Amino acid sequence: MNKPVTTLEKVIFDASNQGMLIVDNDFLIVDINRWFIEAINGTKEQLVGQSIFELFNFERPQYMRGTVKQALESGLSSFLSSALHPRLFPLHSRYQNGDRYMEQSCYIKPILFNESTYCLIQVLDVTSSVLREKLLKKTYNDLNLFKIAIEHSASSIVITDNLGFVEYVNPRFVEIAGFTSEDAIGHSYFSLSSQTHELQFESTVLSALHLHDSWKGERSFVTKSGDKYWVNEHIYQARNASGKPTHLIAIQDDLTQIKDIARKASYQASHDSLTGLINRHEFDQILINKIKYADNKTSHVLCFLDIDQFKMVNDTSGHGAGDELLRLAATLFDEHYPLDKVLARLGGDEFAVIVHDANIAQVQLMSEALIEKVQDFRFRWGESVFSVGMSIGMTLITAQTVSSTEAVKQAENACDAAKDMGRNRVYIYQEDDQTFTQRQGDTYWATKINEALEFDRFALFAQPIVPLLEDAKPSYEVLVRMRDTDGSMIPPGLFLPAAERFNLSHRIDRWVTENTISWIEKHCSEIAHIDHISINLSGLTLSNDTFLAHIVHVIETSKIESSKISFEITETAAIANLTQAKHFINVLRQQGCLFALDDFGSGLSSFAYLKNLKVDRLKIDGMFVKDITTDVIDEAMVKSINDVGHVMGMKTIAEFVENDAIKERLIALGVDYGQGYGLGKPVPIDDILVTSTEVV
Amino acid sequence: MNTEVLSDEHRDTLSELFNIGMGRAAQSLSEMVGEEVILSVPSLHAMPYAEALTLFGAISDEPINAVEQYFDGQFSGNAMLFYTHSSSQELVRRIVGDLSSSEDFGEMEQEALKEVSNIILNACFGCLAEVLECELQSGVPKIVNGDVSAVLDNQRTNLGSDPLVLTLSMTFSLPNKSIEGQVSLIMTSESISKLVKELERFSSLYVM
Repeated sequence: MNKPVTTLEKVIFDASNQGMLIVDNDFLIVDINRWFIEAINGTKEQLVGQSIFELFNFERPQYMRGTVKQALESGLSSFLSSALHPRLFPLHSRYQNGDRYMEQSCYIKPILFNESTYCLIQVLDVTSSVLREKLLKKTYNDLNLFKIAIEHSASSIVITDNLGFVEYVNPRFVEIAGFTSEDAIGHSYFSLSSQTHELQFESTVLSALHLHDSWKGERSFVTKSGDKYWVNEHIYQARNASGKPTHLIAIQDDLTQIKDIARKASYQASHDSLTGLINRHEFDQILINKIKYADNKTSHVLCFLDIDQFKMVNDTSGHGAGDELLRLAATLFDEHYPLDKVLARLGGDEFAVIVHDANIAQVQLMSEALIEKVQDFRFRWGESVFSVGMSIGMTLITAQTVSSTEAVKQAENACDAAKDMGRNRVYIYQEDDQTFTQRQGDTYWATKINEALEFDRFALFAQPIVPLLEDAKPSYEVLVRMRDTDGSMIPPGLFLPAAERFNLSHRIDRWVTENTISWIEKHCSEIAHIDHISINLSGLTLSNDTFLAHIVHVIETSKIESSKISFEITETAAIANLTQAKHFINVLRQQGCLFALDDFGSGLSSFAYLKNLKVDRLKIDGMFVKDITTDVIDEAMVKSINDVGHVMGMKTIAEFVENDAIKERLIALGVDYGQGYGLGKPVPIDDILVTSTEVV
Repeated sequence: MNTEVLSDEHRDTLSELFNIGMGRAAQSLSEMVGEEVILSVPSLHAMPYAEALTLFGAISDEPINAVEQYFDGQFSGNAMLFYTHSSSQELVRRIVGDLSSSEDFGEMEQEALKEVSNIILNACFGCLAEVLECELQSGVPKIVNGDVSAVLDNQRTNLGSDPLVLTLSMTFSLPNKSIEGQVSLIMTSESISKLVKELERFSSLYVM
């Protein structure tokens, strides 16, 4: 049992941590160390003498052969890297207990021994380095990706140390906040945006981080140049692997744009886009607050404003004109009432104003002045010129006011009352007002009108139309009154607007027409002194064919002279329903009836239409007449209407002749007829018979 | 001292030899990376060590990556192939593939650079030995990083007090990309004399 001869070199050879393999010129293994034997899992006896190309299945044996040959024949050493020759020798590694192919670096060098050249192949297991490298690369690539994400983030990102001193700012932060990396790095994040409350903010954030590792909220931030912007911010506590806080990460999302959008949206929700005034909803909110904080010392006045001519402008000149009128009205109202007020457009042609800290008397004066201003105002649209009127209802806002709805309703009802009383006036709501306690709005009147029609509670009144120039016969305009259940008379201003709104006016017109005709028939011998009786028709009646046929039938079957009947239609009604009006006028004129155009001039768009409307008489709007003695423009207006009327072969009638001075002026101008309190008040129709007997 | 150690003919002959070697190296590199690699040596100079140091310093003031291999035999010295940091990165990336986007070289990249340089240097030695029919042995390659002066440190290379430097500018032409490198053979003055002698013998055999 001879122990094999061994040398120190031999021991070292076997103890090496590298694989060593020595081959001769024929690539046969001359010697192989323990590392290699173990890696192959063979025995030395087995391996020595074998060709490496038989023992190992190289991926590129030619390359290996060339390299070994270069060492043996030219004496050149080579290096084969794991990068370019992955798993050169098909060996396994025990790295991390796994059984996987071994990554290797390989040195191939010539060695001289006993006058012969051999080739030493040295193999290093670099599996762990390769894996570590791959992991590093992956980490690096991931980090690089995160870096790109952060650098291109739409959010501002700031990383600070655990005390809040900035270590990194991303480009978005630089862009929005205006601080460059140099400006920010090394400075406290909490004092970058130099605002007074920052110390407090810092402690808020730090305590939140202490408790929850994060803080979230909205706050303002001031840029380097001093501009303020809003951010939604999230600050996190970053911790290292052992849980120790190391950094703070702040992510800011710019809210300025969102806030702008929100502001815009809330503006749109609370404002009327046409006039720029606040809308009904917003007005209600303000009013609710006013009422909530009202005390006994101060009061506010709520006004409800309604533009009378709006519908006509809209109907005759289109929505563009109507919109423009509303815009102008809004500006006018805004300039008229004191600065400290709330003005809103509630919808359509309805506006509302709250005048703060004011009493009714003050606001009444203001409102009356406004009405005058509006009356003097002429609205021009293209070729047309309109005069505009308005009605204003007022109510007081005090601690006693029940609700905003109630307050608006009071002012609206007061406005309706102002309209009913003839427009262009202010009406103040009073709690004990009989008109109001009864009058719960239009529906009240609708019921009342229906009842009156059913129980025949209408009455005819008549007002004389007096010839001014020649000794002609007077005529009379028939007016309708409603008898209340208690026997009192209700003026038409109260119920006619409701009748129009509830589409009942043609029924009233029908009642008036039928009763007037039968009255004429009944008293035909007693009205010889009367030229004719004039009946008012509403705009809606003009377009009612049934009504027209019925009237024609009534006239034909009665025994009266049709020339005893005249119909008055308002200029605005005629223009609004021009085609129907022309038809209506033509049919009844063929029957022999007369026609008058009422309130002429109120629309001021009228001359052009006159040519199309074959009427016999022109009634000049009282608005121009009442101030004729003092207002030269009004006088000129009356004169020109009168002249045009005459040129077209019409007789002219002036309304609102309230005194002798007006009458004299009208005579001087050559107006044919006059009507008004100065010439004769409306009286029950039978009274004109009595008068006539007396005259005769 | 005459700075021009080699005559024009010597330079031409050596250029010729090295270009043959580069052709071989290019072939193995092309096989390895799967795309065409062309290597060429457009210029060759021999100069004193100090002059070379100045020259290389002028070429690049950034740190260099060098692969060094000693050679021994009829003439001996240190062969170095060095690149600027950026061109070595570019080269490795093109050869190994886009393993990493990191600024710094990883171990795998260093090894790849070592292998590629080893192929080129071996090709140079191989040609010299073969054509000049002389015995030559080379050691294994190793990486040296740093400034030009550190890489070419006289103490480190241990080649006598006043070695001469034979320097070859070389160009790697890869598709769409050319990368410059410098091959330097730093030799003792006796080795250069021997080399010149061998060159003259070679010339007398073929150029007559």
